[in-house]
Amino acid sequence: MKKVLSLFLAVVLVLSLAACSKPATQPEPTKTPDTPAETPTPEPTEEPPKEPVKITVEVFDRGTDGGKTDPTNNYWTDWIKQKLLEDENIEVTFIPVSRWEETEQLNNLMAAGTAPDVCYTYSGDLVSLYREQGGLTVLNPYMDLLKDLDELLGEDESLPGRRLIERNRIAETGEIHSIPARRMNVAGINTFIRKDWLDKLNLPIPNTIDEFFDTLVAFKENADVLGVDVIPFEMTTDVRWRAEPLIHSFIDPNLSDKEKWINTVIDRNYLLPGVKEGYRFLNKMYNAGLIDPEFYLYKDDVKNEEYIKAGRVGSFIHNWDQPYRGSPSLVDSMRENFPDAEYITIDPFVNSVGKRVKMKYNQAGLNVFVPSFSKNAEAAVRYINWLAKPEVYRFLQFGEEGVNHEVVNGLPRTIAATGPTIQNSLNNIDYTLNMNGIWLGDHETTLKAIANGYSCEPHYIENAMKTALNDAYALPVVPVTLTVAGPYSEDLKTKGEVGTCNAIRAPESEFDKIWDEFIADWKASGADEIIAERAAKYIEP
Amino acid sequence: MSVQKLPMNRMISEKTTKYFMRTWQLYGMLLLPIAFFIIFRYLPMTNIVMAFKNYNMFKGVWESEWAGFVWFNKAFTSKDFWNAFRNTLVLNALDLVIGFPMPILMALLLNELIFRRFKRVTQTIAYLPHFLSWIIITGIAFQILAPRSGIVNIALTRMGFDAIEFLSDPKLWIMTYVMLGLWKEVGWNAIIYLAAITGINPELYESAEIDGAGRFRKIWHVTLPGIRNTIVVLLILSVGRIVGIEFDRPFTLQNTAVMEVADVISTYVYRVGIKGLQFSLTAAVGLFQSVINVIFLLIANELAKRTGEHGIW
Repeated sequence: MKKVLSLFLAVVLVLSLAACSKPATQPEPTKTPDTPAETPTPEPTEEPPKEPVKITVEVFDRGTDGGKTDPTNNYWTDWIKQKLLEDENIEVTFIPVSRWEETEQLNNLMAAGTAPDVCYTYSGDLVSLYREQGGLTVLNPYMDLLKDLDELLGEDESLPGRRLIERNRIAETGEIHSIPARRMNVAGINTFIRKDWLDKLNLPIPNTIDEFFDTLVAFKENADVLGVDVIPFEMTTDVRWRAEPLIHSFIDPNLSDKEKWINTVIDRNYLLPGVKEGYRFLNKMYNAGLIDPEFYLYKDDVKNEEYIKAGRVGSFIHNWDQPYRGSPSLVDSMRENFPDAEYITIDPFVNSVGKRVKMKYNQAGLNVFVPSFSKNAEAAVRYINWLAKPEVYRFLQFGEEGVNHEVVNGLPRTIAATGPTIQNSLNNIDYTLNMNGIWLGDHETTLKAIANGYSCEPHYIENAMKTALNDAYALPVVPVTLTVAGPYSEDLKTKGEVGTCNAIRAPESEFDKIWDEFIADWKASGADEIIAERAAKYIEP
Repeated sequence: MSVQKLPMNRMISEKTTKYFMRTWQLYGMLLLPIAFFIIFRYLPMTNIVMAFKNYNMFKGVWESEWAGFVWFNKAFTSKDFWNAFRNTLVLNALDLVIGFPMPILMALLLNELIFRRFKRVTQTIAYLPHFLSWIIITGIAFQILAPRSGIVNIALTRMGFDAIEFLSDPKLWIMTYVMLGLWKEVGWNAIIYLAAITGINPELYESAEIDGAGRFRKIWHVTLPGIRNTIVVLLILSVGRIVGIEFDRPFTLQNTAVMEVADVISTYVYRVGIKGLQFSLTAAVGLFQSVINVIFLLIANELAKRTGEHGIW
């Protein structure tokens, strides 16, 4: 028995090794109709390719709950697959990449040579890292195929006289490795406050930073009136974002665009004159007990959202539409517990020349690229262009009338979807790629249509948009190629979070010491090198 | 035909053949694990050359150009690297000092229990946390230990005490880190000692009893010497991991307030090497870690042998 068994095992072993070492020496069994569903190949006609070209396309997996669907296989992908096959004879497969581990997963896919034919990322640094190592297809030979996209993207508003489609052209070589998306909506950030609390405590809407401070103090001191365990101001470790307008208002307004551009390292403005005072103000808020004492433990928004839904958060700063977006939105969930609760946008952070500055996005958003090892670069480019056709992006954004939207006053109003037609990202931006957000011809109409897409009353959205764009500022675009920042960026991001959190949590008397130490370390950890490159390469736009 | 008449080499070859005929199946079965080690352990090691190259992810390890010791220089001149190195040593040393003896103690205690069912239940409860991931344990730790919303601190502040900064005071964080590790692994690590204890000849206990030994005497003179070998081997192995550190435990537990003591080699490498796409740096640091670990392993083994133990080889 033992002998038989071991003989058997040995045979299995030998066979499996043989199978491994010689993958496909024997001729494949002749093409017996294994796939009978295929229609017999048609006789050569004027149709260019007979077999559909197969391409793969990246899609963000946002992993969100609330009835979201599989991003690679749902109502919308089915539509894309079918329509694309009809229009362009291309067969597309979607490859999921986690939104939250975008960098790591893309790196793995790129290094393994298995990245999709069409990839995208919001990180310009990542694109330049890949480009430096020769990982991107040069798109110049294919630019003729991008007519529809060029029309959609239009003029580059930041670089007059140039087309947006050529934003990422390398000045020295003229090569284009990636295509930017156009942000139809550049609103960035807003400050939100509990309007019902203001009313309850008979407080005016804060209009200066000091009034804002006093309002938060009033929230804190009247917790018993408000009836909850009040968190006056909420944020996370991502302070530079979660307090952006506040900090921004301390930046010296006389600083030239050039100074700002050179000294802003990986989107962080720590080194600009005045920023330190912004963080000192946050330090004062923290020591007055106005900021969640556990904010430095929050690596993501989970706890924040929990507290907002529980109706405990007086004020916070986030994406321009944060409490209203999604279904159910944060406000919707909060109102289940407190039917009268509402968040409104405020604009209290005024700089020394009376402007209510805050960031806004650049017109160019995410970057779409084709890896150098892609075997179907042409089809990939044709796909990118196909997405820019109005009938395609309109459908992906609004879906079918009566199913996904209804027309009210000539404007589409999104019907909050819960079933299979739910959109995993707002207006399907994860599928429309280069078309980032909706556009209906002019600002007024578009804003109304955008406001229609939310579950709350439209005036909240219209106000939010107006506030977010009021005195908003975007760094100038300097058309040069930067390479130094890439390897440092993740480390500097972490150091920035650690340094700012520690400075905010310091006793007021030690703030200066801790801040200066952080800045010295930040500069020595790569920021100085990055600034040197930016200074050397700067050219007047 | 007699054996003596055959030439010497013929005799050997016949003996070998016979031996081989008898045992070839065993050798055949050994091929599979050997293949495993070659394919999955030794072949990947060749990629260590990455540490000496300017790795280009699109060219691959072999095509990338040589860089010499650039990456080692880069790591060794970095303040952050040495900070991470120091933290790794400190955390591992504490883990060793506190985390190593506890499972032995636990095994001894469990072994003395008379009610078998109680012993089994205790043992099971003690090793269950081993199967939880660090993500979950960190989540639980935050629920319990957070400065404001953790139940421990809620209880303390309600009773009029100050909240204890388990997660944000660097010293207390180190303690939290070590204690959570202990809580998670003590039961699991005790199993191997319990197994060793079962192997001790019961007659030894009987004779010790006849000689008038009490409970502690028996533990000291019979149980502990009986598992000494196991202890030494495990100690040598632990020492051999002194600059290696797992990733998920420090990564999930660290926060902005304690980075100066919580940033260890694995998290440093993840941030600077992997996220920054500097895979060569990652490889260089990994190689450095392995060399240090091997040195410690050799020293520990040698010391064990000098003090009359067996060592691991």
